[in-house]
Amino acid sequence: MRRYRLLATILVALGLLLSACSRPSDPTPAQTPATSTEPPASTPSSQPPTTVTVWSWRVQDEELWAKVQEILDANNENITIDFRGIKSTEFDSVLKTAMAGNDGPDIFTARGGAGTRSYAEAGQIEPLDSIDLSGFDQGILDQASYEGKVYAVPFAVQTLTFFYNKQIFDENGLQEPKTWDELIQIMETLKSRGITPIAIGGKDGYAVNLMVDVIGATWLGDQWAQDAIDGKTDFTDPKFVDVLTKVNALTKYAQDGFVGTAQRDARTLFATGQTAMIIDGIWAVNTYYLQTDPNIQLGSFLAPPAEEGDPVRLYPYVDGGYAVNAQSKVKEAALRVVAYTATDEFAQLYADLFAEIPGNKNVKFDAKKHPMLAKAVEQKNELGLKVLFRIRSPFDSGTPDISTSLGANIQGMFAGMLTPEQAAQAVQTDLATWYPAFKK
Amino acid sequence: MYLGQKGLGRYSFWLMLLPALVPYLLFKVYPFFNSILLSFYDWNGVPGSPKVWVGLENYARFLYQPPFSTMFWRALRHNFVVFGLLLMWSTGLGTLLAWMLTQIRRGAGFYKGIIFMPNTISLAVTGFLWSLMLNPQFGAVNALLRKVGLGALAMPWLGDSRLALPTVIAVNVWHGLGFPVLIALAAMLSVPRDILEAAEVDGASRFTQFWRITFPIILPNLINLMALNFSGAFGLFEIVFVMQGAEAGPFYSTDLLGTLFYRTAFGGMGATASGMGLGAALAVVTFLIVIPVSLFASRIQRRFQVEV
Amino acid sequence: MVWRNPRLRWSAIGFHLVLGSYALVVLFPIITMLLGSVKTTRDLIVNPFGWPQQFVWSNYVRAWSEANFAVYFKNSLYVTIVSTLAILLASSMASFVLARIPFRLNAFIHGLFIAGLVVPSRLSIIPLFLLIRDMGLMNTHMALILIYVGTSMPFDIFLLTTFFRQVPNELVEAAAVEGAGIWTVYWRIMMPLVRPALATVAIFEALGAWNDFFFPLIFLRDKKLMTVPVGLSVFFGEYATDWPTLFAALAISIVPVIVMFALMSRQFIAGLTQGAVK
Repeated sequence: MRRYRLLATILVALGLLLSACSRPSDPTPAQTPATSTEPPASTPSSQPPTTVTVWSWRVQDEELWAKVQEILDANNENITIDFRGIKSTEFDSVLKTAMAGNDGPDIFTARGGAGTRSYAEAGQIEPLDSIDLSGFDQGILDQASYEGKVYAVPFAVQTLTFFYNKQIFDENGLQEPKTWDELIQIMETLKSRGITPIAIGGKDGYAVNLMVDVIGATWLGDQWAQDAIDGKTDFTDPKFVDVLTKVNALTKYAQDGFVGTAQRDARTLFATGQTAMIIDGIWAVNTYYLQTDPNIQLGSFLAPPAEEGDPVRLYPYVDGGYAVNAQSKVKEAALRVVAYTATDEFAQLYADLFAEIPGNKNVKFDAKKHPMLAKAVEQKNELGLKVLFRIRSPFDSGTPDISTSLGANIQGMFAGMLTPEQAAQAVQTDLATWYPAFKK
Repeated sequence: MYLGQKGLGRYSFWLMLLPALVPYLLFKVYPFFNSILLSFYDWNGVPGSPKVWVGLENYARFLYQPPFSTMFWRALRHNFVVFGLLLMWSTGLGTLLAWMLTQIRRGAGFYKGIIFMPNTISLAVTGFLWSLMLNPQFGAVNALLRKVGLGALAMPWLGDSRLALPTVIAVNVWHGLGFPVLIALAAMLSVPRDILEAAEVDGASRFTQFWRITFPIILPNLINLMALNFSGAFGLFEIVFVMQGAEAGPFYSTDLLGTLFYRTAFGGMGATASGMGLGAALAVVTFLIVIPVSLFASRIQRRFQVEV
Repeated sequence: MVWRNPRLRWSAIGFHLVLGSYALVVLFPIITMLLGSVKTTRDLIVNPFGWPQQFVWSNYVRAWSEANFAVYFKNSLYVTIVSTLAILLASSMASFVLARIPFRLNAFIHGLFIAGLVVPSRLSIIPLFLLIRDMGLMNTHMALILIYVGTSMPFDIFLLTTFFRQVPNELVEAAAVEGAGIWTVYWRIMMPLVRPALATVAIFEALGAWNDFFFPLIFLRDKKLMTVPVGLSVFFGEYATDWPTLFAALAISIVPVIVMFALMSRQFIAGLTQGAVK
């Protein structure tokens, strides 16, 4: 027994020694310091040192906040940013638990639409009246507002499209499809040549939902979305079922075992050239694809329509905004940080870093450096849906929300347990339990 | 004996009871009763929000109001499926392996150690490790299958609605098998040798020896194991949460009362939780299922006790 | 325990085959993990369970310092040690009193503790959550420690009272004659005699605290306070595509426990299997 006690003591001591030896994690140092610094809203340097915690489901934002930290330091702000990135699938529950425990972060990314409204309604986030929001379009601000007040500074507008590997297309003599049949033809060709046409992250509900958004943008359009919102049509409509059928049709061309593939693994498959296409958001380009293979040649196209020349549409949505916790113990500092995120300078920083479309419209895009981004901006401005039907739509704000229901039912469809009609019906039934216009 | 001490010394034993009693009352007894109380209210947990008395409505919602009832009955069904799987793979397989350990001459200690080893690892960590192993594209399991020519069996283990639940349970068994093996083994070793040897002399086969002699003697222990399988099946949460997320996909095929409970109380992806009262009701229902069975098991266990 | 019948030779081979195969099933993920932790990502994708092309140790460094694992480790150590000591003290004192000191409420309190054996603790998480929040203990290690102490009492007291009862009366009487008070009897006489049971409780509870995922998940927010299992989940979120580093982190989480187990397997097994000896 004594022998073991000695051993145990040694091991414990070793463990403590090792943990004492290591440095706490520093955020990765930013490469180049930011350009000209505009002083933030109120006077700095006379404040006591404060730590402001920031939570986001965008794990990649670590670098962004490191740059913000530099700017704050350069302005003698005496604020330390403590950033925590949480996996998207866990973010909501972790945040909700923390907020319920009076233990939430000072600043967090609130999802556009319902995500912001629910916290605003419960009085858990601050209205941002004191912040200059002149750089933002009203439509964008609306998605982060509640009862006329803005509660979050929108940080990005995301666009969803098909992405394809230009090299694979060129090698096989393929062009961007102009009609849906052409798209299927492309898939067939690739498949017959032993190339997996498309990567699908069937394990992640949110990823399969993106497929509905992209295909639905072209095949449903603004009018249908507005009708659905008004209750004039619903999700059992043949047009919606057709979208689900199309989604299902694509699975024939997906990688083996796609139902078990998480979206991040699907992205790896696409980025390493093992599949030719993927449906994803513009944020994936810089954060995932180019990180894996900086030389990958990317192209994108919107869901093709039935006939050549028919309208094609893009699904854009406000990803989220920076909200300030009403219970924050360092609210003043947090508000100053969020005020900074509303500046043109921050927006430019964001756009340069992530090649995404920031909320603030006063940004310049370098078409050569970020070709996908330039295309996305153009498509958003010209072909963007004005009325949304899935993510960030009115259907996303109740329980069960359309995203949860749709994702799960599509997985059921993929498993062959539900037909597209049944999946659509299941979604409709779920929405009808709370959506006013559907309660007949 | 020492109560004869004078003055307050007589009651000093209360001081010795307090460090155990106070945390117990505060963190186990009170929450239990509070769950029951909370289940009769509708409340979203935010301090200052109104608590509304709704009587049995939370229970009604789970029992027959879709969409809650669909989720509830599906999760409940899954819990029973898990129980069945555990009976076979945990108690059944465990007993079999334990019996084999009694039949070999050498190496029992070695096997025992290895079989038990995963039990010392955290269940959550086990889930993380196996989620990597079972990845359909990059995981070692499918890679191995493909390498030995069994590529056809290289399925999306965690992504297929029919395979996901058994797969998760298989991982759970990998983690916990050492326990029933050890219990069954200890029980089997307590069987007196002379009885078995006498049966051997009389020409009884190994199987008969087991079935007629060993089995009845170890039955109380097996019942114990089965009772633990039951409470284990109804308490499963971490492994599903870690491997499939709070939504227990795909298509809720791995949803259990534990994950449903978590989602109801704390919200899954999409940030809409339905309330703490509702969650408490679910907890109470689970209590009502698990507690009687545990009590019942310990009672009938005595009935099967065999005097040796 | 085996019979010398030569006819059983073939069956013995069969048994070894089965047991050996299962042993391989147990070891397969562990070995894959260890091998994977020293590969480069490309090597791992191409060669999931073979020998590494080159040995890369930076994954461990990355997991330990950059990814904060050192902090998680330290936290787990702290919570485990403090909880285990607190549990040992609380449960042994209470068991001693309940086992040896006759007083009116003895049977009631004993029954109260035992009743807790059939109630699963985690289901009461909602009121626990609210209680911890209202006590201002959210996001603290103390919350975990208190909860571990409170919820482990039924089992530990159940176990220890049996042992305390077995201490012969003569020893106690002899001590009483010499004027020993309660505390002296407890500390000087009882405790040394129930040492094996204490070791059992210590191992059982220490392992439980070290491996727990549920309570840290609910109560800890700050990365700086997290224990290893929850830290691992944060880690999996942050480094999702960096498989070799994930394996390194898993190795850091798993290997110490396995090593402890290998060294003290008898005590571990005794400790963890007491559960079913009801």
